[in-house]
Amino acid sequence: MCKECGCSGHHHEHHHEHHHEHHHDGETEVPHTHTRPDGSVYTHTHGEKLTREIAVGSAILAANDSVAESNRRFFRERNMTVFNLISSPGAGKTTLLVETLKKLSAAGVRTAVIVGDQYGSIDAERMKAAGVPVTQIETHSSCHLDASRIQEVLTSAIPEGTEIVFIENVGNLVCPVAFDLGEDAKIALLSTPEGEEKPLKYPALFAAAEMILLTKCDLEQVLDWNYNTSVKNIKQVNPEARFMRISAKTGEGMENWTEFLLNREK
Amino acid sequence: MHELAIATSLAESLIEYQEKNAVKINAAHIKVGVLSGIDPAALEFAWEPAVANFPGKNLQQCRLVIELAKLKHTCRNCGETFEFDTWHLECPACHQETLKRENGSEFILESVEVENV
Repeated sequence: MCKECGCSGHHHEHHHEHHHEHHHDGETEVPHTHTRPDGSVYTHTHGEKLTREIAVGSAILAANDSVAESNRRFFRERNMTVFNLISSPGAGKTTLLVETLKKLSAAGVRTAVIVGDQYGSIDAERMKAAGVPVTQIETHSSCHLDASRIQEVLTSAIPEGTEIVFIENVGNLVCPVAFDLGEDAKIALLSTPEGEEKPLKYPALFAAAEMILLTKCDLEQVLDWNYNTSVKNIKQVNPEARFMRISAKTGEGMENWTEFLLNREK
Repeated sequence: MHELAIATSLAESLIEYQEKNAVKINAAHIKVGVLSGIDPAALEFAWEPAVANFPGKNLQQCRLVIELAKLKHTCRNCGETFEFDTWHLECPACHQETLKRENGSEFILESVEVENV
């Protein structure tokens, strides 16, 4: 602050025993005039240190969102439906996908998979056994896929004629939610061993998911897992979510699930 | 800890803003929804190391001011609107479980405090 006149941020020294009026409205730099003791007059603006607040109102992840939109256009132009599968590690994404890919292939539906893991290609190898194109992305230190990682592999990972694309995200209940990849729908998996309260403890995913799969339902009795409590908790954070019981092991729910996949609007 | 990736993304966009508008940003006001998957404390923790990756970009003094967005709800039954800190299902007015949440996943740069350079 200028100790002479009280304006913020003078760099120059000047002496003035006079009254002068100028105002800062917080938005603009106001040129103003001083009269020196010798009677000479000068005008200056001191905006260089004038702090002002400017409204921005932009999405912070706009860079990711714009790449995601470009991915989305790629998929739309090719008439593909894209599902982003998100869950904690071990909820059964890969096992469910292997069974799903087999079922869809048997029905003549062409699928492709992009799978993210921090390291390795174990999941990709498992899914390749189902006979569909699978592309592994290693994210290394990163705990999620972002739209650029998908964009990089789009043309190599997704053959022409693919109808359904699955993106198996890095196993993580929190981080992947913030990053749009260009998918049509987020699918959350909640496995019975995780208990009934996860939707309340980690609400972001369950609030963003269009479909919530209650996986490993074959363990329901052994775990004393309560379906109604799980559904009630999901509804607390996402009253509009669809949900279904499923077991890749026994096949429970697989028909409903593939029906959902085939009928989801693009 | 995706907040480091997010803080880096934020730093990049602030640097771009600084260069485009010939200003130095002293503070960035951020609004975060409780269902955005972004933890304000982790974001603050990640801010300094994120900025340190951009030496010479004049962002070292920039503070983050993070505010949690209130969640707006509208009742589908009685039409009343409410604001809460977290998500609710039951309407306080008509006591039906018919509240519809209007927001919660936002992550917005609301404003910047700048000075000219």
